[in-house]
Amino acid sequence: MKLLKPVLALGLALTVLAGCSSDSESGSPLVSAAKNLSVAMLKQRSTAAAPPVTRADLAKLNVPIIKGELKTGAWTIYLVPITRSGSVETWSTSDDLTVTFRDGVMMQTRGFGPDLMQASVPTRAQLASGGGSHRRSYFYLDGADKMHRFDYNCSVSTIGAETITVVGRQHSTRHIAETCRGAEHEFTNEYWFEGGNFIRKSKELLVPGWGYMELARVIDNG
Amino acid sequence: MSAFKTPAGRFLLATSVVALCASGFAVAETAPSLNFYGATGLIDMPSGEAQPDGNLTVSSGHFGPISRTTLSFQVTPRISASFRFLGIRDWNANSACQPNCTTGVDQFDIYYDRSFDLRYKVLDESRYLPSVTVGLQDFAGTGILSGEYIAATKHITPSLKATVGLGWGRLGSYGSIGSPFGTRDPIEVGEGGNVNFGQWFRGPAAPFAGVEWQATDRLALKAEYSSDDYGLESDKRGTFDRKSPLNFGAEYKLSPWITLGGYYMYGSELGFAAHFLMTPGQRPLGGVRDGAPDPVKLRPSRSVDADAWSPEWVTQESAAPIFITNLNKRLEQDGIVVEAIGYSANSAEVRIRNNRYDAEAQAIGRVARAMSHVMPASVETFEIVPLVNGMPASRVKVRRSDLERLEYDPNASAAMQNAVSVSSPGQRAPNLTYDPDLYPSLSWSIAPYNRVRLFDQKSPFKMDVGLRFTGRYEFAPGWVLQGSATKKVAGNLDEPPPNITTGLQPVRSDVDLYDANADPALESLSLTKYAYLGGDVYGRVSVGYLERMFGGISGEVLYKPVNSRWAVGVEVNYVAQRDTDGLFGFSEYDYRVATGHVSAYYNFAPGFHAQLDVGRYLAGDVGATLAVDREFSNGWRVGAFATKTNVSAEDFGSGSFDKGIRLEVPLTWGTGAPSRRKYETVIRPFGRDGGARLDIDGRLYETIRDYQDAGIQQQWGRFWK
Repeated sequence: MKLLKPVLALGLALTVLAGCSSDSESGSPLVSAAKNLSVAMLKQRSTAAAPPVTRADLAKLNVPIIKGELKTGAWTIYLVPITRSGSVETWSTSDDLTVTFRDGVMMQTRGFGPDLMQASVPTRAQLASGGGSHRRSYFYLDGADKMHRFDYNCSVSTIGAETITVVGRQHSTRHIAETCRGAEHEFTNEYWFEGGNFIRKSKELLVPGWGYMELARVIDNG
Repeated sequence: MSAFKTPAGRFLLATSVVALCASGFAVAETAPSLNFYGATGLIDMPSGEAQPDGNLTVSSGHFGPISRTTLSFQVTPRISASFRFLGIRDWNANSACQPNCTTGVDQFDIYYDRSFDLRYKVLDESRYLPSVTVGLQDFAGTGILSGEYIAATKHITPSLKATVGLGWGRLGSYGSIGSPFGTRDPIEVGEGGNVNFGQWFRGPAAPFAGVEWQATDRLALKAEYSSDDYGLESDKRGTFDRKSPLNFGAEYKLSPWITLGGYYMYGSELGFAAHFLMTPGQRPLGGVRDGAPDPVKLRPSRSVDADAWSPEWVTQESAAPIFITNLNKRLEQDGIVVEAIGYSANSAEVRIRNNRYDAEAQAIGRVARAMSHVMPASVETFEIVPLVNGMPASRVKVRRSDLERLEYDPNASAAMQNAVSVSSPGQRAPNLTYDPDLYPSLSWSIAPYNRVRLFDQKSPFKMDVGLRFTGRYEFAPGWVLQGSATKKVAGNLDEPPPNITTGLQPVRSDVDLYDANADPALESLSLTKYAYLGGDVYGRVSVGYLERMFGGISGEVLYKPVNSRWAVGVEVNYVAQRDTDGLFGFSEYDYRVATGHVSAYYNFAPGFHAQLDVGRYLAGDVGATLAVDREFSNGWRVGAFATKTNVSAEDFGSGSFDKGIRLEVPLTWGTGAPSRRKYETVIRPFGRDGGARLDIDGRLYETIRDYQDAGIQQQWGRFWK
């Protein structure tokens, strides 16, 4: 098995071991990745034991808050607004994940890794109308930093009235579905409109073939 | 808020990217698999297929006494190349040379050899036609594995494919149907390393065939009829008993990156193979994961807040240090340092150092956004000048109004790319002010190192590990005093290989003496001045202990227009060979040499780069080096080089002339987190003294070009990341 050694060596050599240095920016990314992982694992354990976050906890912060869930609840984030420019709003977590909405509809994300880099999305009014059709384009970067564009034809339909619960409070909403078909994927976004055209909650595609982000407006005016 | 975040799920996201990338490609009915030679094929026989473009594979195949480890690269969709290391155990156990196996090839218990292959896919599979490949196996050198073939592969059902082929040389040695193209003359080995044109497709030809059935997504079953009779290994040397031409195997795909196989070979032996796949073009984790940027800060409307737009701030004194401080506060977490700023009422130039982003465009994007927060509203033009070793490498102009207008545009990336210009660094802003706190700056590190010696005659692989101490002192922009020292902790590099004298000064072949004697060792200690000389011209002068084996003075001038695909440079060095103890002396060899090259660089096709160096090498020999690399936008490079000088093959020694392959792997490719670190390796089948160049850090071309037009544009998608 002597000849396996060069293979092992290649693997070993690719593994740049941890070192120490005066320059924090150029510190080993492997070390920081490992740190993140251990922090994440600790957090996960502690969150499992911790009591669920209540509306009162969130209200204390005195800022508008969106609760985001990925992979049907496996990952929960809380977002607060950081900038607004016209109808575009960017919301951020404390650890630099951002979601940007145009007219209340998700159109960019950053910090997640496989981010929605840019998109053309329908207006809130188009969705609130409960019918009609439109086009969407989503743009993502691949592992070569090349932009890929995915186009979809979408149609809007009304599912009906629905009472939903967002962190302990009930809301009467109209449940709207937006079904989009593209050359390679199809997906359905859902919106729960409250009092005309306020999006109380939505479930919007983050990455084709992977999954959705559920976004619920918990605190409206902090 | 931190109490509420649960970033654990972040790791789940990695899986999504694979799905996204997969959707971009048409998935073949079955993947082209690899054989014992690490070439696309069946078990021991090749097939008519090829790997996907750009794939890099490492295969390790073993059966009976035979082990082969192969690095293969799909250079283009049609061309692939392999470099292989072969070992045959029990080489003398049953050989006719017993009991006096002491000379020539008989002196080894294990026979080691290296070989190169080239393959060309002539035809793609279509509805009625098979894919067809012509291959040259072990086409240069001693030729123990030499064979040529043409093979055709066609799917019969979506999960079943059949291969038939005709082989020559080794692949025509069993069940021959005659010699269609004449007799095969014996190889004139000489010092090895020469291309055996005269043999190709000559001598007996024999058919081979096989089938591969993709039983499940992960499991494939293979059977083949081999046209290789292993005359040397089986009949002549008795290393194993070849009883049958039939081979059978099962391969299991452990993950997209690893396939394992088990085989029953030639009616008598069990076999095992492991294949590792890398996709240099695509990071396995997809898009890079990094904290979100600060969104662009919009200026207030001029009609609402006219005061904010007033250019009067320009007359304030000491604004520059405040801007630098504020920019650096915002850019600290991005690993970017603003070194200097110069401005007028409507334009600002910042000089930045990017310590973090593998994608230069992302660094530019982060700086532009930071400027939108810090610069007064009257500043409309942002000029970002990336510095490398204190030298400006280019000038990127971004209009602030484009930044504000395009950030949320559905076409943000392409529109911004069109709006931004990259030009040569040009004149510095008249009132450019450096951050007084930046220079002098000292940085240092202590990190493990490993040093590998491949293919010395006693053992194919030797390694040392230890600690490396490095220090870097920049006392003014472009002035760098740097040094590194190593202390070995463990290893076996001090076991010397057999001493082979060449007809040349041992400028490299005494590496084992340096390995053995220099511990601790001062690897380098040198003072370098880097300078931008104006226009498209850059310069460098280095003096000191430049590398492990040489010290002296080195000067270089490079002409590299910022938007061009080519560059030329001249390097002149006068160096002396250092003592093997790794300290300060030069007396052991008392060897001085003037060496230098004229170099031409050319990006001749997207992703393909060539470099030609013509000049005088360390041993005083004169000649040229041609290097061709496949370059991926994420920084991966896979290349080959060859040097021919006026040294005779006899004086050069084994291999006849210097050649090898080189790999450059950006750390970001593996981790998915931004970093500028790269792992580089050069594999030379025969490292000798002819065609050796000075191994100096900071050569200008590689220093500059990442930050020039092509380097910025190829990862432009990261501007808005």
